[in-house]
Amino acid sequence: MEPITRKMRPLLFAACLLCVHLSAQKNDNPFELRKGALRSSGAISPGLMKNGDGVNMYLHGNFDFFLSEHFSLRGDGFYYVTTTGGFNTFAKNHQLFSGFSFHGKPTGFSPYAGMLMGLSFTQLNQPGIGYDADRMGVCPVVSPHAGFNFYGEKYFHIFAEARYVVGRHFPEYQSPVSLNELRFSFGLGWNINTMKK
Amino acid sequence: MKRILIFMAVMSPFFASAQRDSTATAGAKPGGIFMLGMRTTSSLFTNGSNGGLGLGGQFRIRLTPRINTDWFADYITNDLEGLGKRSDYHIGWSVLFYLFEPESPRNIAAVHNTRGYMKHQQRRVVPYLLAGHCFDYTNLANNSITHPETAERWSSAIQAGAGVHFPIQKIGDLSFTSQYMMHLGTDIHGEVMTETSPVFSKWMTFHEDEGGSLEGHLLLTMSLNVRIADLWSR
Repeated sequence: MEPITRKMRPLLFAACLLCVHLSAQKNDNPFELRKGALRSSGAISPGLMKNGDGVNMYLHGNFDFFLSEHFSLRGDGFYYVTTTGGFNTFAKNHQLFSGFSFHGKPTGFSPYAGMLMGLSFTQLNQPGIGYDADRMGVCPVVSPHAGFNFYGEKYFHIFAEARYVVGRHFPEYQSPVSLNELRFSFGLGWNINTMKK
Repeated sequence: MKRILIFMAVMSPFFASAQRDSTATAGAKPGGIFMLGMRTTSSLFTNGSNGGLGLGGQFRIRLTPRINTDWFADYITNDLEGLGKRSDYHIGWSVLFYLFEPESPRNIAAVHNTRGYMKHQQRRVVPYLLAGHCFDYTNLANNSITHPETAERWSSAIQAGAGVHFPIQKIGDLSFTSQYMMHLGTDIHGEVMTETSPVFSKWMTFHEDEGGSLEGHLLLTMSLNVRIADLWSR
């Protein structure tokens, strides 16, 4: 493990202090979902393909805009980074989704489920032929998803979710490649109410 | 006196029909509702295809309480037996005929508002029939390195089917539709070719025949629609 440089020490100290500070706060004003609420999160998301031998890694960003306390419009973006523990099938496998989610309780522990539809921007990694032998293809994808948010604070929440992505990439000189994949995401999210009660 | 009574009896239906109907709906009459939505479509039984998946968008303009219109555009990709790709681009419209008025009249008596008008009570499930027209562009492309080939055609289509809305409060609805779409255009189709020398290879070649042909597919669509505006409400 690399030694912590002097520059990083104050940052780590500040981060630790922030955690202690947040946990010491009394939760007088917990967040409550309602029309106009906006939540967003960023995460690193691992994905397991049905026939793949590695784990695909994505940067995952998403947001929900609530039209009522139980229903939100949702947008998701996945940026493919790499595959660990196996062959890199893809040079690119970025995806954009939009759709909806139904949410349970408007405060505290709030499970949700929904459906997203979108497009994949996929290019195969073909080192034998040349890295750019396959053109980037744009194909429709759909993704049912389910998970939970835990709204403990006015501006922050914890989330965890799983999704299944269904789609198919059509390479220029090869049989179609399945994009079916199970993905997981978890981490910290942000939330605000953009409209007054 | 008898004549007066008979005259009044004859005229009473006219008097009654001339009165404002206190049970009629006003103010919140549902014609003119504009909705915007997105949709995903599964295409089944397409000629020579293993099934396809699509993405699209739509807007709706409701003309009367029982009639709605759906204006859509779709991009659908199909697998041609692992040897190629079929892309379909649809743009068209459908008219939706509601089997029941989406705002339930059964419950109207219970929901008078203070202005004396009726509020509509939304049904939880709204079944409908639909039919419409569509214009299409189809592109076929194989994935052979040695025999690359493409084909394309323009066509027009009619579609008909049935569906159901699941309204989400007053926000919009989630809709599921099943419809058969029949295309009229030139005939293009694929044929699988093989050769064994110098190495075994298999590819798809495309033929375009003279004259028109009918070709159809079943489309299963799920859409999310959000209510945007009421265009001509009083």
